[in-house]
Amino acid sequence: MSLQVENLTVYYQTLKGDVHALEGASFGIVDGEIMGLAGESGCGKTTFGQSLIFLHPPMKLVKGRVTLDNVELPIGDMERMNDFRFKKISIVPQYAMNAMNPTRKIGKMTAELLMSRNVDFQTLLPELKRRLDLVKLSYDVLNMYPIELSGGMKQRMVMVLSTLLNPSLLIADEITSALDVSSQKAVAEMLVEFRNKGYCKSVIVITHDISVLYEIADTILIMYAGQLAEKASSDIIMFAPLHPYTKMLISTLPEVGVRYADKRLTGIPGGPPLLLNPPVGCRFRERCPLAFEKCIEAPPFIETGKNHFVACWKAGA
Amino acid sequence: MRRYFERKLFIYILTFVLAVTIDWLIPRFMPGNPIQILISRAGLKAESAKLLYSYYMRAFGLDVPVWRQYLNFWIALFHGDFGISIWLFPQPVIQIIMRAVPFDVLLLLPAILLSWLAGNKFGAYAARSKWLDNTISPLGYILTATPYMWLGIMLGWLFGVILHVLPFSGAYSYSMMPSFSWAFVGSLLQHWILPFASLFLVMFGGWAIGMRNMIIYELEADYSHYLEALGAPRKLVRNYAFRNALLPQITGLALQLGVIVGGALVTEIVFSYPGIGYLTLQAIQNHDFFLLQGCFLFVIIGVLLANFAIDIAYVLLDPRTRAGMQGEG
Amino acid sequence: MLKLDGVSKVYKVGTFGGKRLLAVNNVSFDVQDSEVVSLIGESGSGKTTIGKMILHLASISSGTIRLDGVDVSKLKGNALKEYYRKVQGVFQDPFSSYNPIFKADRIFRTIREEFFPGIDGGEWNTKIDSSLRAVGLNPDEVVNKFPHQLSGGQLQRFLIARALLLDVQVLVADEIISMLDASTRVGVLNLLAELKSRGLSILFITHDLSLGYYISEKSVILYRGCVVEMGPTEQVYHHPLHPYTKMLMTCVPRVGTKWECRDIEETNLIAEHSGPSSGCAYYDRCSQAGKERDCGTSPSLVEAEPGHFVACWH
Repeated sequence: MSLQVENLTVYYQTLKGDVHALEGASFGIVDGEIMGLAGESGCGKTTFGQSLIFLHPPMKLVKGRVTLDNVELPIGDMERMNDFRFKKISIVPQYAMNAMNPTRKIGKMTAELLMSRNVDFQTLLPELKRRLDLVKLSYDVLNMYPIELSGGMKQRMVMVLSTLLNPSLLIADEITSALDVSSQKAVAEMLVEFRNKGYCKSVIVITHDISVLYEIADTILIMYAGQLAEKASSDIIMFAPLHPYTKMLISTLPEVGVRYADKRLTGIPGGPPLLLNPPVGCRFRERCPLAFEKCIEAPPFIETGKNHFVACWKAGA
Repeated sequence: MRRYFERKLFIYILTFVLAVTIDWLIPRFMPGNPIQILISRAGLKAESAKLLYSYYMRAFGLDVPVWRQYLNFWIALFHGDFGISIWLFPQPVIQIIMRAVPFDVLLLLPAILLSWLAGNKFGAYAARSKWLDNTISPLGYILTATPYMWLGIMLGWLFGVILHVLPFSGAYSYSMMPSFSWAFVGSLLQHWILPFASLFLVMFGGWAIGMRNMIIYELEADYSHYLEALGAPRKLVRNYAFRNALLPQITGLALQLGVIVGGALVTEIVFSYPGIGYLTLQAIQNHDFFLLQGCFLFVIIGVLLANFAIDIAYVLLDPRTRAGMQGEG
Repeated sequence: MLKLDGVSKVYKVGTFGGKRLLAVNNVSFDVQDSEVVSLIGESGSGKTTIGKMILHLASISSGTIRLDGVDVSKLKGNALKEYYRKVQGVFQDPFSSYNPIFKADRIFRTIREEFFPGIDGGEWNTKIDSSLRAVGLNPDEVVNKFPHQLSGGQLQRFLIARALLLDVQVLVADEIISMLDASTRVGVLNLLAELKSRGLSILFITHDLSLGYYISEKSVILYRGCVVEMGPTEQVYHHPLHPYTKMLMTCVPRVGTKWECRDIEETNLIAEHSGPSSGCAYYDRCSQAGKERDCGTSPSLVEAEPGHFVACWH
């Protein structure tokens, strides 16, 4: 097991009280796994990614344990966590377009960042150039300012930069969302390539676009309202999901080949609950067509089939 | 690149022409006839006064139509001729101004530069620690909100009237003639301290607050968070934030430097410090519109030159402007 | 019927507008009554600019846009106001369409002041009620709320309801569901389809091919301001003729088939946009471009099948 998360609970502190953004998350990722993390906006997926590497206020660690390669990550300790960041665990943030200092040449910024982490830039330079080649960027970008690059180029540059020290785990947060279909595909495939080449051992891909996940992820984890709903291989999530939310979510996906005139898709009525004061029990209860009395208790996230985890009372039975 | 500067230059020249025209117009719309005042000072008989009046009108070039006056004004300007003062007749305006400029530079250059340096330094410190933020920030807000003249009067009252340690009027002792003696330099310094301090303190407050806010903004920027997420030490993150926060401060500095030649009007008046600010007041009080025109002209030139310097400096300092010039980004 | 004829848009770019950017290049297509046309293109393809020109928010550099034979660009004052009765737009970000310090229904009041100054209160409220119901909102739940109290899907429906208050014939929907979640976007999409069946024409601007396929009868594929292919949706999606359309089709993530399984030409997936050159806009990225062919000159739209046009020499 590369990454093991146990009962991770992270709240957002606000003036109105704590927002229960992530509650009791437990799961594991094996070496070499690309895990997709999907859910609607506000379901806690970005909070989850951030909390693994950069748990800063107003986020607050309530409880939970995270181990990476059998070492416990001090995720609640900003200072001690620095030893792991970049080297063991790294991130391609949602805001990759603005992730680089606008007034520094990219090469210089990279060198300064590496130097600050006691890594020699010159010895890494050949490897850096090799990787730039792989993502089809010329070495000239090192002599450019971020503003001189297009959105897609910046995205790729940040991907190379984030994985330069071969971290065990890479968190890729919405890396394809802002891109056009053709560059979306290129970036997604590069991510797979990075994993195959060992630039990062395992990857968590956070996105709201499940169809992209299906193309690149080995497993998919679905979150709903701050809790885990279902985790399984991407084929099972797509074709044999057990959680009613997953089922409905998959059925809402429009794709080429489906037309309004022929087959009408339906959305999920209602909206997710507010996480400031989340309801007890299963948080999908309100919108769930299968809900029954027992759903007033929160269902555990248990393994119902091999590597298939579901949090639903109806799924196990 | 060249195109960019050409266009900029064009805009500056246009601005200059417009500003100078307005500068020429303002005194002419002021109430009161300066020649009449000049003659009345002499206390002549009515007949000789009439003769002198027509002489003065010709001497100042006021006997020709307005458009001709305007044209003559421009022609004279290109010969470096700002006209002749009415108040200190018959000294040329340029001479009077040149006598005042060194005092402005002496007073304002150190005040602006030192307050800028200190303000940025302390502002950056304030963004770093809660304790400093809670002390420097309120102090900065109080200082920057203080009117120059009020602080000037307070300082002059405290150190001059009550404590009798520092002089608070003039640029040097009235009993001295300017010379390169130790005694004169000493007197110059003594007289300099209070106006300098009043300017320095108020400006310091402004710079410190500006820097603190800019740094906090930069520390919350995406690139700062990315560096932190990759475990970059605070030193590097702060360094980047400081450099980027400095850019708007540089603009502010250059603008301030531009008004040096205009002097610090109220401070100079409070301390009777003979800079251009003080001179401007005298010109207004004496209806000396050639002198007033000259003072304004200096301000115009100063501000435009400073702005042009910023434009160039920004191209060198901030890559984003360079990209903008090429029509990208 | 909305008809675009040879429409172009030139933007001046650079610090002082020294350079020219041809954002939309000689685009012609029409939207029939009760028809959904999807305008598909990547960022920078000029799709939003076309929407803005139709809505009279951007001037037209050359060409004409006509609604039922009336030239849109010449409309002024009252005539323009009458035009807005018939043509309305809804945009991508539902949150920025509202002023956060006012209640969301303020958008209806502005319509009332502008277009129905004489209407009486009760009549107006029934009109709003029916319009909200038409977009699938329960008036009791959504009226008198601030924008932050409503979801993105609700706000987007609100904006459509606002358009419906007027006698709209054409709705320009610019990426209206890109910002919505999967569970709510289908609802808005279905709403558009319902409105269409009631006689509304919709110009559906999107970068998402599957959404375009789901809802539209006709598809127009844009590349760098040029129409590269257009025709009935079925034909364009199942028999794409232009290499760009073909490339797009292989890039769409499809449930059930993995990318690896499909035959794709990797070659020029990520080409950097250079300045507009003469000749075929797709030349740099095209796998079939050859110098011996005529790709150096711009191809014009040719009717390959009935109603299916393509701009490619091949």
